[in-house]
Amino acid sequence: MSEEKFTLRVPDELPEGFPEYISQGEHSVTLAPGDTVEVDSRRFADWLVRELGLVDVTPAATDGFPEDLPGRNVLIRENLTIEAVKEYTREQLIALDGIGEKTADAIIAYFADHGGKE
Amino acid sequence: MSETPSARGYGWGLQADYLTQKSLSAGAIKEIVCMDQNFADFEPQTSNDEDWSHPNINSPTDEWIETQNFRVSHSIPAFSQMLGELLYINGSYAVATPGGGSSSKAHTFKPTDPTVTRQDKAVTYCETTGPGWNILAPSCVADGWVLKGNGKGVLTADFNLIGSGKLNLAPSTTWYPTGTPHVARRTGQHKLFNSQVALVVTDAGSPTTYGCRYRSFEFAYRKTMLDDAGMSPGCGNFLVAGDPTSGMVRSAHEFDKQMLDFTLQVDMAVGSPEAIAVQQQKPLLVVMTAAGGIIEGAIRHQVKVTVPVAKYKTSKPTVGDGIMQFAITGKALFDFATNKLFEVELINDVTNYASAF
Repeated sequence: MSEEKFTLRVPDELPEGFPEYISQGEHSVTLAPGDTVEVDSRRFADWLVRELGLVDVTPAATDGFPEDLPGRNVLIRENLTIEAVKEYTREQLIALDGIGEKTADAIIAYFADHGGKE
Repeated sequence: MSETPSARGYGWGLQADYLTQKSLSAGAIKEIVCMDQNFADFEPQTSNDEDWSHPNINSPTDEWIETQNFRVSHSIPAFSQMLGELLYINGSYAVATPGGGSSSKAHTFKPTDPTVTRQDKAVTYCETTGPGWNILAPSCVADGWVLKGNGKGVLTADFNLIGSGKLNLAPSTTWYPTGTPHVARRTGQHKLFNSQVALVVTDAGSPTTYGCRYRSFEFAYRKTMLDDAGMSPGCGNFLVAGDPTSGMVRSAHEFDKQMLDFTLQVDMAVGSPEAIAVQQQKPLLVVMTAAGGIIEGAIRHQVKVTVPVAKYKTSKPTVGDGIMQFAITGKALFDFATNKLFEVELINDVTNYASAF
């Protein structure tokens, strides 16, 4: 079974009678204004968005991006996969908003040192 | 010393998921106050070699267990607090604080949305009749409920629990008078009565408040269960863990269809509007409210069943309490406008059913 988590944000302003806690089958979540909550089911997350107006703020998949990878936050923000980034040229990296020449060189050097693109 | 039915006891405890039995600790299981004297039905499903070839033997020579089964039926008084536990294990749930309330809570129950899951919550069920019978069945789910009221009495609810097939005939479960037993006794319950019921049926925006014409109601929520699909051979779950000859038990128990039927009994009125509603198959909004004692301020213990779209199937003259009445049967239809088949709102002093039992 997947252990993937989905992150949702509860609106700051809630109408009267908005639930403090809600469940569907074995899935449940406690809700408070402005809270960020995690659920373990994509279907439940979608239901909470659809029925209660929660906002899906699940971070883009970060699987495979090492903590010490230069420019990591930019690459995650751009919704890139590590496999794609390994194939990027220096020019393609520099074209990303937030990656300069120095960081692009550092990324290429990182993959060279850690078994990336030949 | 003989034991009498007054020694009988029932209890349940909410499981974290279908497969994980509720751990036994002081008060972990909550007593179910039952009006019946029902006990567990368990019957291994067996097969034999009766039709297999054995030269000149025309009788079975062997029999074996294939699966284990467990179920039990109960009728409970619709205590405001205990009723919510039954509703909780049967569907989706939300809790909010009603306007002006602090200790009172408004609990809303609806059928589980099958786009999210088909696995409703499971309980670990216990029963005893004294030293001769003390059992524990984990992974029990309900296949619905029947909420009803008639005459002068307390509202009641009927239900079935269907287990995975696991059954412990010698659990360590402790009951009163053991000090701090596993099964917590239920006290401080608030009763709801049929005399507190208000029935309103709305036809095309025009409400009929039955008032003194109301007599009785019955709402029956039923789920068809995927009994066989839950017996998943690949999961390797058996009555005795690690003993594949002890009989397969369920690894999940999901529902298929969800339906709500109802019966109402009302005094007749000139023009037979209920019969006309049958003949014309009018879509009706049915709201039944039973309001009991005060919790705080003006907030009362209350159960309210709302069927946003219902159609009557029959409306037959019948005799009740020596007078002519209509016995109405009907069925709920899924309402696209409100995205639900029905809704039950329960107001009481339970903080949250997720941690109530």
